[in-house]
Amino acid sequence: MPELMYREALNQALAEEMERDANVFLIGEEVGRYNGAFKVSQGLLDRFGSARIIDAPISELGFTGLSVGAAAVGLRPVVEMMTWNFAILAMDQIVNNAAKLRHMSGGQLRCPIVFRGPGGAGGRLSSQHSQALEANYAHFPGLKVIAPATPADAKGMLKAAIRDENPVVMFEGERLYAIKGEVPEGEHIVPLGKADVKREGTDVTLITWSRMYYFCMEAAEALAKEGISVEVLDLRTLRPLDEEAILASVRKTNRAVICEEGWALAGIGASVVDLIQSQAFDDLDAPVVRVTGLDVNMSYAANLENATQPDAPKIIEAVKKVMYRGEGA
Amino acid sequence: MASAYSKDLLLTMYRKMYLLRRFEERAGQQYTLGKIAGFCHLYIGQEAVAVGCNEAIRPDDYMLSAYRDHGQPLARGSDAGMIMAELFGRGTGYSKGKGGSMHIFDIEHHFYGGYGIVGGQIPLAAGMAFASRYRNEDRVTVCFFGDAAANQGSFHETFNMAQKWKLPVIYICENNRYGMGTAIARTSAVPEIHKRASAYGMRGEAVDGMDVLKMYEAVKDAAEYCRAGKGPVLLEANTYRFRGHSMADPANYRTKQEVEDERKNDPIPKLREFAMEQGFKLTDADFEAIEEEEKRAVDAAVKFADESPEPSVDELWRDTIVEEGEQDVRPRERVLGVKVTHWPKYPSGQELKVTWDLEPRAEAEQADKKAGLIR
Amino acid sequence: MATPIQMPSLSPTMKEGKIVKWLKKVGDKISSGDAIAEVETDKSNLEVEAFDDGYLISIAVPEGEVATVGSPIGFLGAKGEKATGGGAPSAPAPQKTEAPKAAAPAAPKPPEQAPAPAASGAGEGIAILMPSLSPTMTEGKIVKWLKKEGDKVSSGDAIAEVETDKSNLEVEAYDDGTLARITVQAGDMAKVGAPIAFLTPKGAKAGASAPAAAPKAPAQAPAAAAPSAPAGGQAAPPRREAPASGGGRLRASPLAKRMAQERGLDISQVRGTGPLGRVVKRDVEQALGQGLAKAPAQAPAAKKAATQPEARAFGTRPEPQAVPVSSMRKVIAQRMSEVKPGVPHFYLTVEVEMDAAVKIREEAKALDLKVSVNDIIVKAAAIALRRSPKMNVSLQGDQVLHYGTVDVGIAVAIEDGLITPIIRDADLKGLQAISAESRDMAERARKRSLKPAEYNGGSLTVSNLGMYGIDQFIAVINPPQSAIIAVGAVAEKAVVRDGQLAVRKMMTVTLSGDHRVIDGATGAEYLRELKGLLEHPSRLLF
Repeated sequence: MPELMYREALNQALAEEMERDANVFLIGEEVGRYNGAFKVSQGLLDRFGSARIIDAPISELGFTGLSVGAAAVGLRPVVEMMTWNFAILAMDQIVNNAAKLRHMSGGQLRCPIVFRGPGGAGGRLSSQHSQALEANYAHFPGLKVIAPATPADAKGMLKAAIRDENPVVMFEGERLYAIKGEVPEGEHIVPLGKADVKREGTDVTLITWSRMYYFCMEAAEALAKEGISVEVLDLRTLRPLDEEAILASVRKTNRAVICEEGWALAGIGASVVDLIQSQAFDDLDAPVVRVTGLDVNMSYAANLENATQPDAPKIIEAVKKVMYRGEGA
Repeated sequence: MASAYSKDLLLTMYRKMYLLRRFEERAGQQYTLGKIAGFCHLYIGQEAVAVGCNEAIRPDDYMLSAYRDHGQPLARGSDAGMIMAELFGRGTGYSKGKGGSMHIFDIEHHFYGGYGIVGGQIPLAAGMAFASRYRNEDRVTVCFFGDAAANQGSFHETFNMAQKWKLPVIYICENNRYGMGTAIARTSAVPEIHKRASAYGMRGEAVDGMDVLKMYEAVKDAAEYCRAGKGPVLLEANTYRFRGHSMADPANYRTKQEVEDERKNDPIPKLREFAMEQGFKLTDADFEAIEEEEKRAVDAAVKFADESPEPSVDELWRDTIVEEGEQDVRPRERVLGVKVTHWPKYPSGQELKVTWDLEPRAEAEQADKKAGLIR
Repeated sequence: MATPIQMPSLSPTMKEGKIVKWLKKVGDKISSGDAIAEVETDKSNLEVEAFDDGYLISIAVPEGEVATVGSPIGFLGAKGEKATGGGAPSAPAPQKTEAPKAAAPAAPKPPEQAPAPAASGAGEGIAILMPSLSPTMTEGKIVKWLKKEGDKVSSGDAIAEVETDKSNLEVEAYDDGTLARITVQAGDMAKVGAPIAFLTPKGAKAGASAPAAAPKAPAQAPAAAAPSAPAGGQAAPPRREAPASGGGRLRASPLAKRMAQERGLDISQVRGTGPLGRVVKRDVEQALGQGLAKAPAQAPAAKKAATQPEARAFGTRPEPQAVPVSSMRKVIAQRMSEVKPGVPHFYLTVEVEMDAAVKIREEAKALDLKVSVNDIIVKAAAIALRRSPKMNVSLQGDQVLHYGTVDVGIAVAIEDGLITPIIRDADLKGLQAISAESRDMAERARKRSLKPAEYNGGSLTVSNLGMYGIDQFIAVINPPQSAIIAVGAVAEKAVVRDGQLAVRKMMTVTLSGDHRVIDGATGAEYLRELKGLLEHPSRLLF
C-alpha cells in the first residue's frame, strides 16, 4: 500500500470523487491558482477547470451560503474553510440553513454538502487561530461531524462524506496534513458513524479522535511497558456517535479515559462520559476521566501553548488514575 | 384601443392578488382565533410584488423568499389548503406542520422556501443560480427579501460574487419601509436600496411595487437580461404592508394617516380600474365573480386545514437526516394522492458535462502579465 | 343571522384582553378589514378587525371590561337585525377587572363534605380556598394541617399540606390573621376553589365559633408540630451496617459491586484498595481467590425473597383491603381511560428460558405424576403475585381492592367461547394440587357445570395458547381483574449465552395490565419475578 501524507490522501479523495461525479465542485479561499492554503487542492484547478475549483472571495458566509443553495438544487459542493476559525462567520449558513433544509421543507429538500478544513491548534498562532471547534457542530441535529486522524481514514471518510446525502462537517488538522500513513488506492470508503479500535487492549479504553489520537497511541505504547494494556478507540465520527463501539470497549476494559483537544465544558467527551455512566454504570471499576485542553485561550508563547494542550504524559497520568496506580491510588 | 396586455393576463393577476389578499385576511383571523400560533407575517398590501413577478417568469424558474412567504407560493400556484394547513401546524401542510408560517416550501412549484434569518436566503439564491449556470440551463432564480435585509453582510457578500460570476439571479427587495418597527431610513446610510447595486457594478432599479403591471414589466426585463448571461439584477419594489410586521405588532411606529393614505394606493382596485379601461367590456360583476370564487377557495382552504389532523408523532424522527435510500417527499402526492409530474430533475454526475469557464485562463494570465507576474 | 366578533388572540401569550375603546357604535356599517375596537393585551394595544361585512348590532363587552380570548365582544348582522337568541345572550359574562377574586359563575361547586361557603363564609372572615396547584388538578386531599385552629397566620405561611394529582404541596396563606376554623379535616378532599378553613383578619376578634375545635389538639401538639410520620408510619429503613472497610458508607466501584453480587460475595468483608478505601475489581478478584464467596447465585435471590410478604397458612382467607384511590391514581385512571376507553391496557413482553421448568415436568413424569408446563406457570404466576402485592389488586369504583389471597384464573377454551375458572390460593398449593384442580375445572368448564363462585374473583389470569403453536400474543383482561398473562409455545431457539450460541427452550410471556391501577414498572417487576421463578424453578420452593 502506498504511503501518503494526510493532505495527499485528501487530494486523492477529492480528485477521485470529482472524476466520478461532475456535480462535485470545490470552493474556498485559495483553492485554485494558489493550489490550496495547505496544498490539499494541489493540481486540481488544472485538472477540473475554474467552474469546479473555485477561488472564492474572503466571504465565508457568502460562499458557504451559495454552496448550500447549490446543494439544495442537486449539486454536491465541497466547501473548504481555510480554517474552522474563519468558518464561525459562516455558522449561520451551516446551522440555520444546511442543517435545517430537510426539516423545514418537510422532507422535500436535501443538502448533500461537505464543509471541510483544518481545526485544532495551529502552532504558535495565539487564540484566534488555535481552537478545536468540533463540539460546536456536534451539537446540531441535521449535521454529521467527522474528524479522521489517519491519512487512510481521511481519504475514506472524505469520499464517504461527498457521497452522503446530508451536510457533513469535516475537521482536518493543521498539524495532521504532513503526517504519513498507508492509504489504500482507489475505491476506499470508510463509512461515517463507525469508530475504530486502533489498538486492542484489556485494562483501559482510551477514547479520542483527530490529532489527540497520536498522543494516545504514544501513551499506550509507554503504558504497555509498565504492564498496562490500553485499548485506543478512535471515534472518527463525532455525530452520530458510535455508541455501540464505545460501550463494547468499556464493557471489556471497565475503565475509560477520554482525550479531547478542545475545552472540557460542553465538550464531546462530556457526552461520551454521560453515555458510559448511564449505559455501562455497572461495568465501571473507576470514574471516567477526561484529558482536555485547559480552560483558557491559547497563548503564543511556546511554553504556554504546550501547557494548554493535552499530551502523552497527561494521558498516562489519567490512565494510571483509573487503574488505581500511582498517586491517589 | 388595443390593450398592451391580454385579458387573460389581467384577470389572472387580479384573481391571484385577490386570492393572496383573502388568504391573508383569513389567516389573520385564524391567528386571532388561536388556530395559528407563533410568528405570522401577513402580505396584505404587497400582493402586486409577488404576482407581477410570478407572471413575468417561467414556472420552472427558482424562487425563494424570507419569512413573509405566504404570497409567493400562492402566486406560483401552490395548494392554498396545504399552505393554510402548514400555518395551522397540521400534518397535511407542505412541510407536515414542521415549518409553519415562516417556512413554506413547495418544490413542485419551484418555490424553495421561506427563510427566517434575515438575509439568510440571499446567498442560497446565488447558489441556485450558480447551479443553473454550472449546468448550462437558462433558468433564473428570483429571491425576495425585505428592506432591512439589505443591511446584512450576506447581501453584500453575495452581490459581490453574483456580479463577479454573472449569476442569473433577480433579487427583489420588497421595501415596505420598515424593518419590523424601525423605518429603514433610520438605520440606513443609503435608504434607496437599489443604489447599493452600483457598488458592485450590478444593475439596480427601483420599481413601483404597488402597481402589478410595473412589477411585471420590470421582472420580465430583468429575466431576459439574466437569461442572456449578463448577470444579476436588483429590483427595489417600493411597497407597503397595510398590517403590522407580524400579528403581534400594533404598528405604533407609523401614523394612522400614513396607513390610510397608503390604502388609497391599494394595488387590487388599481388593477381593476385599469382592466376595465382596456376595452375588454369587463363589468363589476366579472370581478365580483372572481372574488366570490377566490373567497370560496380560501374558505375551503381554512376548512381543509381545520379538519386536518396534527402530524403523527412518528414524524418527529423524520426529516432531520436523510437515511440511506430515502426518497424526497412530494407533498401533494403525500397529502392529496395527486401524481406529481413537475418535480425538478437534476442531471447525474455521469451525464453532466460542465462547460462553464468561470475564470477563463487566458484572461487570468493576461492579468498576471499586466501585473508583472509570469506564470 | 348574527355573527359574533370574538376577542382575538393578538400575541402568542395573550389569554384575555380589555376593551379600551369601541371604534364603531351599534348600528354602524362595517366592512371586512375595518378596525372596530381597541384592545389592551398583555403586550400592547391593538385593534380588533372585522372579518366580515355587516352592521354592528350589539356590543357584548363594554369599554373598560375584560374578555377572554375567543369570547364574543360584539355581534355583526344585517341592517336592522336584532341580537336576539343566537349567540349573544349565551356569551359568557365578561369578568370585571377590579374583582378577579370574586367567585366566577363557573367556579367549581364546593364538595359535599365541606360546608357551603355562602352559609358560613360571610360571618367567618377570610376563606382559605383549596388552590389549584397543577394544571390538571380539580380537587385535593388535605394530608395534614400545619397550623391548628387558634394559631396566628401570616401571609406566606404554609398552613396545610395537600395531595394533588401530581404531588404533595403546601397551601399558603395570602392574608394575616388567626386560623379560626378548619372546615376540611386531614384526610378529606375538597374541590379546587372550595373553602378549607377560615381566617379571622388581624385586629378583628375571633368569631364565636372559631376556637370550638381547637383545645383538642394540646395532647398531641408538641409532637404534631414537628413534621410527623404518616399515621401508622413505617419505621425508617434500617441503616446499613458499617462496612469492614470502615468510616461511614461502603465505597465500591459499580463493577466491584456487581461482581460481588453475582458471585455471592459479601462486599462489606472485602478490603478496598482504591482511593478512600474504595473496593475495586482487583479487590473482589483477590477476595474470590481467597474463597470468601458464599453459595453462589441463589444467595441474593433468597435475600430478596425474605423481604417479600410471607405466605399464609391454609384455611384462612382474609378479606381484600379496600383502599380509596389516590389522587394521582385517579388522574392516571382518568387520563388512560380518555386515551383508551374501557379498561386501558398496556403490554409488556418477556422471553423466558424454560429448560429448567420443562425438566421439572419430566421429573414429575418419571414419578408418574401429571404436571403440565402450564401448571408450573400457574404456580409461578401465583408466587410472583404474592411477591408483588401491587399487582394483586382490582379497581372497583373509586376503591382499589388489595387482595390478601392469591387467586389465579386459567383461561379455558370451550365450545363457542371461553371461561376462566379460578385456582384459589394457588400460591399455597403444590404443583400436583394445581394440576388436578385445573384439569377438573377445565373438564367441568367444558361441560358447563362450573358454579359462578368458581370463576369469579382473582386479580390475574393465565392464558396459554402454546399448544396451538402460537409464539406470542396479546390477551384481553378479564375485568374486574387487573392483569392477564399471555403465554406462547415453548420452542427451541438459538440464543447467545456467555458470548456463545446455544440452543434453549424459549417461551414468550406477554402481560396485559390495567393501566388505571397498575403501572408499567409494577408490571415489569412482576414479570422479572415470574421469569426468575420459571428459569430457576427451585425458587418455587421458598
